[in-house]
Amino acid sequence: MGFEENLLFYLTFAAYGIASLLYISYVGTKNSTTAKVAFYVVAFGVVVNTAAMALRGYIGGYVPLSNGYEFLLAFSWGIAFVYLVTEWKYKVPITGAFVIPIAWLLLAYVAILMPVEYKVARPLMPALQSNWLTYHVLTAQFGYGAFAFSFGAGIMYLIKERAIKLNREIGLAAKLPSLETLDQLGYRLIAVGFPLLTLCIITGAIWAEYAWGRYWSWDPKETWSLITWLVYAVYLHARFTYGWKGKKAAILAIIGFIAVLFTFFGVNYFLSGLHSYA
Amino acid sequence: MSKNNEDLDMRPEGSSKEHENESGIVDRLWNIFSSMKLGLFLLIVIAVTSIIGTIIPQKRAPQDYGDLYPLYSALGITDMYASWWFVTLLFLLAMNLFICSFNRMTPLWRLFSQPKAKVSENYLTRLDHHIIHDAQKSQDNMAQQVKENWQSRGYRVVEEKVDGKIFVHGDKGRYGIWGSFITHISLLVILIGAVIGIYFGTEGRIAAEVGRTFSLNEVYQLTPDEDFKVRVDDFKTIYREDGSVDAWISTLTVIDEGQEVLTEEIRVNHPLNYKGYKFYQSFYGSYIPTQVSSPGAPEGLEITITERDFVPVPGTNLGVWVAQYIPDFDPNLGWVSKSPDPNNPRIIYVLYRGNQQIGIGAAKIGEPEILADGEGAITFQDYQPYTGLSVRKDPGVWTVWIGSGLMILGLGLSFYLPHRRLWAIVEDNNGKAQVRIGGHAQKNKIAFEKEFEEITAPYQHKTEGRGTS
Ligand code: HEM
Repeated sequence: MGFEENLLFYLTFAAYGIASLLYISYVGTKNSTTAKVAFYVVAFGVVVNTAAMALRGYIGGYVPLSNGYEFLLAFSWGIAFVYLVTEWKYKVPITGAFVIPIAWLLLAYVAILMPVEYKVARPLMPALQSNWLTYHVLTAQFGYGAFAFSFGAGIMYLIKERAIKLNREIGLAAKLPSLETLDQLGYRLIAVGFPLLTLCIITGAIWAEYAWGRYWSWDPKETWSLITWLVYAVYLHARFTYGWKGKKAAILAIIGFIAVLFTFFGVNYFLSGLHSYA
Repeated sequence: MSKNNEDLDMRPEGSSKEHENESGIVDRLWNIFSSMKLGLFLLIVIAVTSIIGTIIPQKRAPQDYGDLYPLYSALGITDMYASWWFVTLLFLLAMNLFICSFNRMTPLWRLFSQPKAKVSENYLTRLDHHIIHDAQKSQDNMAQQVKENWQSRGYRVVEEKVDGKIFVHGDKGRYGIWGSFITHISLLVILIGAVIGIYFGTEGRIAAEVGRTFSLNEVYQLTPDEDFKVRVDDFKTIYREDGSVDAWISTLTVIDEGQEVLTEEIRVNHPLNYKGYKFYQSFYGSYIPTQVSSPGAPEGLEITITERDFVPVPGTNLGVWVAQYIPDFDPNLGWVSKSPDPNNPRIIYVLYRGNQQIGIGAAKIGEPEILADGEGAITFQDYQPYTGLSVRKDPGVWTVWIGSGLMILGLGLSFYLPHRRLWAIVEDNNGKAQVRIGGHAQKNKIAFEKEFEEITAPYQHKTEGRGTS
């Protein structure tokens, strides 16, 4: 990768890292200026993240959503973007301490562990030359961003709930939003993520139909996205009909995001299939 | 009358409406299948069992599974997504969805088209939000004001007068009621599409050289119900400057009842579609009729090989590994063709003695190539590229796409058009009105809370605050 690409990547990486630290220190200090600065740092991160993707598109000559590096840039973009919108709408900056580090960790993976041959722009092999692939990844990008947020909210819920139960609502737990707020936030984001994941699966099926003549072939990546989808369907139904709110819902939201991560990483590393060139 | 309405709201609509009569086996089954409990159970079991097929490779040959094959085979997990038990789980889910949706149809329709205004006070005060207000107006004026207020906010309003009390009901976003219903039906539609594909679809493969005309019957594993022919006019691989493959392109002509009806270039992601049969660019290769001989075995060997085949030279310990066809060979470029046109067609090969690589060459097509100073000779007589097509017919595909579209519609309604409901009971209290207002939204409760506060703001003193549930 050229100097400009590396520069933009590391600026994004640094922005999410600094924002994570600011949000974590905000948990300690509750200093609202810190939260405000952190918000703008994330916004800056989204801008350079976008620029990194745009430059990759320019260099590669294709929509930059087709290899591991590009997916991860898109994923971290999705998380940070969804965070900004959610924070702007609901004003619970403390969630930043639980959500932005996820975006940062994804990029840390790129920086530290990803072999360089997965990072460089490569000419698209014929199967990847499809607009449906673009829609497929775009919907995943926003949907996964929303799920990452609900995961963060779920973790916060469990921390808070445990502290309340032990009657020790001090320190971190005391600063977290109310259980009700966390539960509602988690639900709102899953309500955003679920239709997007559905669209992601459908556009993926359309792509597969054009490329291979089969809209569904139970390959491991497809199957794991279906499993993820089912976990969130269970979340919605259990919540709706059995009133599984609070702790059980938080646990399901966490399981759901673990399934997302497994679909994203695990399948490539542990299992094999059509998607393995991703 | 009001019972229906209440049930509808406090429980998810129609989720587990028990049948009154529990005696018959049919009724019992019906109850089981309309329950969400079974639904959740099935969703979880399907999610968990699906993992198996992503860990254990599917549809391999028995020896690939080793000693565990008899066990795997008995459990059906060498092809688990088609195994009887997995298909049964999907079928049970479909039954569950169907019966549950069927049960909810009537109550949903009633709620959509003619909601009842009358509710009990008890019901109203159990809602998420409610107030009581003593007005300085007459009962009729008060009811009128409430109605106008709601209507101005886009609520549909119905009114009912029973036993001297005026009941008002208002709702907004009522199309949202159908969201989850449409989502469930869409899943059934998708499953039906999949079943149509399994029973009426067919799929096969064919390798066809340029110039060949084949009929559908010749396609391996295809069971066609049409009888037209396809001619392969051309097949080429397009490379980029860096040598990577940009595209494989086949030019196909469909010949139906002796008439050329259509000619199209196909490539990956751009299949040809004729009478429901789709032709996909799927693989490629070549046939190379070849003659090998040596002084010890002058009669030689005549075989048809392809790229990446290994050919032993009879009577010697030599062998030829056929690497790659280059259409426009240039010694300075080596493996990269100067152009896609066959200006100087060569076949690059590697010569082995035993396991030892002893030479590399670029043989001209049709001319003998002398190996190892005359120990042997090889002639690549021709190079016939073929295109590998998969041919598929799936009459269920459109059903699946329609189902997918419905699912998006259903989810959109379900999550983004929340049904909001308001009730008011206006009573006469010695010429003055006493009004109770309650409200409920199934989704986006935060936004509704705000709206409810705005709506009830004119009724100054709230004798009861917002309830919690
Ligand atoms: C993969 C399968 C399924 C999907 C994708 C699905 C989807 C949905 C969605 C999106 C909602 C709205 C949820 C919300 O508003 O929070 C919903 C609600 C519901 N589902 Fe399902 N569902 C599935 C299976 C089932 C099954 C098997 C049942 C059978 C009993 C069922 C019964 C219900 C009920 C009773 C509701 C609440 C209805 C309402 O909104 O008034 N679902 N479903």
